[in-house]
Amino acid sequence: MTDLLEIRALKKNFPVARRGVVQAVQDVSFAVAAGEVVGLVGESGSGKTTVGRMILRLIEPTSGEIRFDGIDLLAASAPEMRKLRRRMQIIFQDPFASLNPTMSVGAIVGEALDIHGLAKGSARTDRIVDLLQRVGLPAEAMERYPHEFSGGQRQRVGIARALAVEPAFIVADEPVSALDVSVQAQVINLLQDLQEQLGLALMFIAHDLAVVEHIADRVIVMYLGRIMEVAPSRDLYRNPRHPYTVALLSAAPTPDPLVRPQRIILSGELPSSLNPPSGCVFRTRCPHAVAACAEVVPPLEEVAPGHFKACIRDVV
Amino acid sequence: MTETLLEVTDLRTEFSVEGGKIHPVDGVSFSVARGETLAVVGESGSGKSVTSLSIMGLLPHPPARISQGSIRLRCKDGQMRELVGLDDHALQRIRGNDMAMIFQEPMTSLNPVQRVGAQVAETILLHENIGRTAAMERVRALLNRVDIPDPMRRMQDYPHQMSGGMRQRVMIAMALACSPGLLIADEPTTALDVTVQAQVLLLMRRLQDELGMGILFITHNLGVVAEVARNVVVMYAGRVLEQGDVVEIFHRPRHPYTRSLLASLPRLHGRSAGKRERLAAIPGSMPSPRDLPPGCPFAPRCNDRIDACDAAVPALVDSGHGHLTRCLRWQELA
Ligand SMILES: Nc1ncnc2c1ncn2[C@@H]1O[C@H](COP(=O)(O)OP(=O)(O)O)[C@@H](O)[C@H]1O
Ligand SMILES: Nc1ncnc2c1ncn2[C@@H]1O[C@H](COP(=O)(O)OP(=O)(O)O)[C@@H](O)[C@H]1O
Ligand SMILES: [Mg+2]
Ligand SMILES: [Mg+2]
Repeated sequence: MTDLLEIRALKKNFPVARRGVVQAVQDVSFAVAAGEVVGLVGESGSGKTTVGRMILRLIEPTSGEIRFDGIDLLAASAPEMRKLRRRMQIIFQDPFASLNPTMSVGAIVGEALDIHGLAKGSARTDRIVDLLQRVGLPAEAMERYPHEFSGGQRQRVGIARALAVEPAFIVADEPVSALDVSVQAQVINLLQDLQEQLGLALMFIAHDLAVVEHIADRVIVMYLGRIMEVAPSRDLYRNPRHPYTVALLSAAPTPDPLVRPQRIILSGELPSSLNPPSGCVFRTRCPHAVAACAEVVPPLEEVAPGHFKACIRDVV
Repeated sequence: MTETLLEVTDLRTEFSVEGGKIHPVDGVSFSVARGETLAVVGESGSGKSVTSLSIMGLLPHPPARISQGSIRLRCKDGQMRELVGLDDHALQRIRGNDMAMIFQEPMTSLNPVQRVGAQVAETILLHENIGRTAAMERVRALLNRVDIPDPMRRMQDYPHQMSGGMRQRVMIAMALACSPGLLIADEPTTALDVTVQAQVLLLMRRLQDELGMGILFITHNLGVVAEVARNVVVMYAGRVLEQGDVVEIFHRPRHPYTRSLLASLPRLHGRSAGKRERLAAIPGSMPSPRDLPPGCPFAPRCNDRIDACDAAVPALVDSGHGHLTRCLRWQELA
């Protein structure tokens, strides 16, 4: 597989008035192959959304490099960028806030086609109907407005809008977090089917570890703006190597009353990203931290084929 | 025999809305014993919050009214008291003292411009005749009890200066201020990250062991249910579809809805090598109380539906050992 997306040393600082600088994303590097599903997990504030939005240049990186199809996104000219925009799309968590309430569903999906001049007249209508059917909505949905739909159906509209421009890559930022489980399963199945049928590369951002395990080929774990661990899905879940991943996995409740989890309860609170700890950002809560952990930021090192961890200790 | 703290019988809550009356909670019965946790689980809109607010007497009336049933609570004098029909003044005395509630989002119940120490103190002063200094000392002890480090300093914080997990601890401290027998927790960890959720669940369990309180735990998260509950009530469109011991519900679910719900969950370590599988999704979505089907509310989405399911709402029957299910076909499907 060739890399569709390549990210190197990506960084985002948000200056905040009088309080300093939020170090939202620090030195993040990874690649996504064509047709690959990469899961991005981590607790709120770990920088997942900021990474996803920087890839689409909805947020300008402070520094770093993003290459899509070999083209340097941050140096791309306006026409180049417009072409690239068509190839990358985003689906948001909140299907309520992300759809314009004053536009019909047909207009919402059609707008994406119009921006890129993709279809006109009756071809445009056919294409909208086709897209709606693809995501499991009836053609009549065209005439209706977002508030007439349930949360799951609205998320389908968001997916249809993203698919309209035939992207090669989609960032899905917590696309099922606001949905009930029975509906969540419908939307996950839909995303999975579309991904397979269209050969899409997908970056699936979520905080639900089971959902990510289900859908992703490979998983990236973030904490306080940095990558802690990257591994093929199965390796990460069966054999996590970073103490943070181990704690995170142990914290997820199991839907079985006969299973009593061996839980690692993290002490203390998430440090502020205005003033992250020196060295390893997880060290202040890590049960295995030693003095050396405060000295240098641990680099991501390969511990098994395709399995990387940023930890100088070898305890898990 | 453990002592019953709360007994809800055939509760029906009515809302007057444009075009008539709806019943987001209909025919709900359960009880909570001292030292035990009962979980009410269901998708959003199934009537969980209306149930808890009905018990607390916190629904706005109008438009809401308890139109049927009984809610009996054991008060500090040891007597069971009927709460339905009590006036606001009497209910206010019971709230805080005999039962207390925590919510998903502590920010909505905390005053943003008052220091948290003073807010917790106010709850104490509302119910007890003690001086300000004594109250502040109680606050410090309470914050300490819910594992808030450096309580003297944190008492001076405003709510926004605290993390979500710390705010929920403050809410728990406030709820426990007058040692109520019953704690109602409506999605208390839903807004928290899993590692923080784990901390808060551990705290709640410890406090329950120490204080012997009964907990009515409301959540949509089946993993959390499996972890905290002794008994479970599964709600759907305002009705109880299944009810019983937690192991029974998870390992011998009798209602097609419970079965489908459990099957639709992605599970940790659930994936076999390399292969990606499809989840067993339930088609469609839950009906709103404004247009309920005539029979079983789950029938329109049920794979096992037969014509009789649409005729009338099935009765909640005991399938053995107090495991209740509201399905006509539970025996043949078992
Ligand atoms: N526009 C912004 N201004 C200041 N800080 C921000 C902004 N956007 C995000 N942040 C901060 O950056 C960090 C990462 O946020 P985010 O990427 O949203 O995390 P996640 O999606 O993992 O929850 C957080 O500390 C957040 O508060
Ligand atoms: N004030 C109200 N007026 C009319 N309907 C309401 C009101 N409050 C709640 N409902 C309805 O009652 C049903 C149950 O709501 P709720 O108990 O909040 O669900 P849950 O907590 O299970 O998500 C929903 O359909 C909701 O729309
Ligand atoms: Mg986010
Ligand atoms: Mg609710």
